[in-house]
Amino acid sequence: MVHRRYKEKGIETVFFVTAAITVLALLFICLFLFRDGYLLFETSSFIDFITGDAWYPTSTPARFGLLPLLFGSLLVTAGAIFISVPLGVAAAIYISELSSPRVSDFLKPFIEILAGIPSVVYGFFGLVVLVPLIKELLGLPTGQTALAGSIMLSMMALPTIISISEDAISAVPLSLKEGSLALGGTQWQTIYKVVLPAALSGISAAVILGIGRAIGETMTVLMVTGNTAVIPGFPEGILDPVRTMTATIALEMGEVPQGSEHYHALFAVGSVLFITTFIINLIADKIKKKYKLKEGL
Amino acid sequence: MASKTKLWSITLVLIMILALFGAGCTGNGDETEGDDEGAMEAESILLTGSTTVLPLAQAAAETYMEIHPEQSITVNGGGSGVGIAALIDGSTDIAMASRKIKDSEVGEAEANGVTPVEHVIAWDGLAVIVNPENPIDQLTYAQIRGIYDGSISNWADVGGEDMEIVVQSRDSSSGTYEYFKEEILEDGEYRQDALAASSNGAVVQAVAQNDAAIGYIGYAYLDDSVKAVDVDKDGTMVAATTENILAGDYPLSRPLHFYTDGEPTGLAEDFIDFIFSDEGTEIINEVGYFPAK
Amino acid sequence: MSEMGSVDDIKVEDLNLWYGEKQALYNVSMKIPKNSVTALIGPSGCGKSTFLRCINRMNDLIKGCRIEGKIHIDNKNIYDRDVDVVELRKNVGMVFQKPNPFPMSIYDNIAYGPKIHNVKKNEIAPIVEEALKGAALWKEVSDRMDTSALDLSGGQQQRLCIARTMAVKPEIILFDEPCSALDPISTNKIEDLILELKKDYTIVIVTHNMQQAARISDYTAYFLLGELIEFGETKQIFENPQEKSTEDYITGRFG
Repeated sequence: MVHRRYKEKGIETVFFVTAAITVLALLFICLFLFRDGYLLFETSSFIDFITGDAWYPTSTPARFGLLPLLFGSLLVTAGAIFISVPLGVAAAIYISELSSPRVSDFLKPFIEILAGIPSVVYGFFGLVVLVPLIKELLGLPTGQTALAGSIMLSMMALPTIISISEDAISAVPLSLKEGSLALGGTQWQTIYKVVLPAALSGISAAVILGIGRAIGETMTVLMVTGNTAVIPGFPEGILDPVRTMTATIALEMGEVPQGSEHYHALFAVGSVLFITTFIINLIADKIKKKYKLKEGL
Repeated sequence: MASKTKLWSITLVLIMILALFGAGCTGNGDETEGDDEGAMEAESILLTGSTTVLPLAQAAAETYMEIHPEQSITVNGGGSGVGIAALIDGSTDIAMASRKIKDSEVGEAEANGVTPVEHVIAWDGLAVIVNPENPIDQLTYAQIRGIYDGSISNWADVGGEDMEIVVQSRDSSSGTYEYFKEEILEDGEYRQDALAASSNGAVVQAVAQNDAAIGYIGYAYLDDSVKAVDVDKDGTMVAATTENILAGDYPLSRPLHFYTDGEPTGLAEDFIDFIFSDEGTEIINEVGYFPAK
Repeated sequence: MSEMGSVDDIKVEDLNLWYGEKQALYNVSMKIPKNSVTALIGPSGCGKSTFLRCINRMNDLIKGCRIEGKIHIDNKNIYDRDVDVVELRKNVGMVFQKPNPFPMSIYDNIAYGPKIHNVKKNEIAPIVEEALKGAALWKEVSDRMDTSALDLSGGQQQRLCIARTMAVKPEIILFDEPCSALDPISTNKIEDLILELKKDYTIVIVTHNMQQAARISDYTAYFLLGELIEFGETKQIFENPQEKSTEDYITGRFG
């Protein structure tokens, strides 16, 4: 009897320790990230960093302006959301409501396979196929643009958005659909006015996860966006080259002397990236909660 | 029954934790051993630095160790800046650099009791490339500078077609980027809207598929998908060919360096001598660089 | 829809239904009179709900479901090829076993039907009020029309669903065991409501509660294993059943 209680306690403790290790590890990463980033401001002005519009880290004097990188990331991500959310939700609706079981049985695993393709492969495909295509079709000087980045990111976020949205839509109780149909609603009206609103909390979760993947994406954007550190116009900047925060870190971290100003600047960018992702997740949580309340769950 | 499942889950979790710890504990970098007088005794040395010099150092080290299997030579990348910094704080035996050591770095070294000694072990050519469809075959330094610093933006301004120039550059941590900045831009600043590729290969790809593009690459990366233009520094157009580079006529060639703390001894000395030998020259050619005269 | 129907509002002719290979209804025929309450009774699995769902073609939604036979409403076979199912369902409403209000406000729930049938925005509010009054819910919710329908009690939700159905002005309302998820007081309210409603609607109600059938219905149909065993005036069915099977069920010998 007592032995069993100790065993229970022991198991609880093990799981608690595991959870604690995870949280602590995350906290340490945060701490080191911010500390090394903060060290930049001992030699360089914080205001210049936050408001600077040029990134010339190896020049003398070095200039570390965050804005081109921040806006680059935001523009590419916004473009990706714009493309992937309507497409993804539409595909999810098709799979869960409109297609025959045979079609959906084929599509679902296929989409999940797409999610597993490594980002370098996407990047390679983007560089060799998509970039020249964009140049040709849109008559731009170069296809290395924010648009190329957005399209690639969409392709990477789509499987997540489709999968999770599809789950959310399928989870809407049949009774709600029947209620609408019994009133003389068409299938479309039922989907649009009843099913989608009811699945909204799940769909927004799907979108957030998809965006999360997009914002942190490095290799792909590095290979197709041109990496030009210039503040992009909005929205016409989508057709110009841009540089994201992630690409900057990837491009430069490998060859930067440890402890140098450039090194700290990159950590500062990493900190901003972290904060941005964090804020997006907070907003996402709020949206999800709002929709969950509406559903009365 | 339930406790059995719990036992399995605990075991799994513990294994995962151990795996994580194990993965984090991989050793990194060798310690350098003390210098020996007898070069025949087993030694190990470390080279750190430029990723341009790295393929050469790597190839030479492999061949050297085939001949002298008891010796150990490790080559790391990280960039010219990283290599020199490592030499200054004593954590590497030889620093590889695709640029000359800066005065500020010399100062730092001496403050640390380190005396950098320079060895030019090979030369690298830089080719300025355009798309094969581009009618332009030659450019002066001034024109190239204008294109890269932003004052020239249309091919028509240098005698070509009326097309916006797509300027392909490298990321700022590249030695090639630095060299080009010094040599062509005379330490001026690159235009802000230049595209930044992450490697020589990416530059070739970008120029090959865009008829309005211009770029610069290490000579070893030149292939048929792009065209190297003749370059004029002081009045004569010089083509980017192996002969011209070896003859010293092609202006866009830069020395590749090893830096040591004081004169090299022991394995370091032997390795550097090896690179200057005939066998070393062969390796240099194979890798795509040019032997120091 | 037109008022040109005969006194028999719903006429079922030799209705057979299969789920895939399995037959669930066998040659069901009956005539359901206008403005009356017809109760469908029988043990679990006897096909009464399946039959009910044929009347507004909700069984069309089930893959592999096949129907032979006819159901005439207002002299038109609803299974004819040229029948618009959307219009049919506007005319034949359904209230389900478990209340299924939409996760919207009370107002939006009732307004849903008129909206999807293109009623003009400014004409909807009076329709909503009328429907809620007709469902005996108006007094309880008129001051909180914008709150979520999900905040109502079970009985109120079911009356909301009834009001929602009434808002599209059907001729026929089908009830599929509407009180089985409710407490006795709510059940009472709904039974009273149904007795009111029959003045203006034809009502068919599936119930497993025989006392309920006896209380509120004018006609009763007894189903067993997919067959219609007996159909007649409620008084007759309960006091003087013609078939032995009916008598056995009613007296509780089985079911």
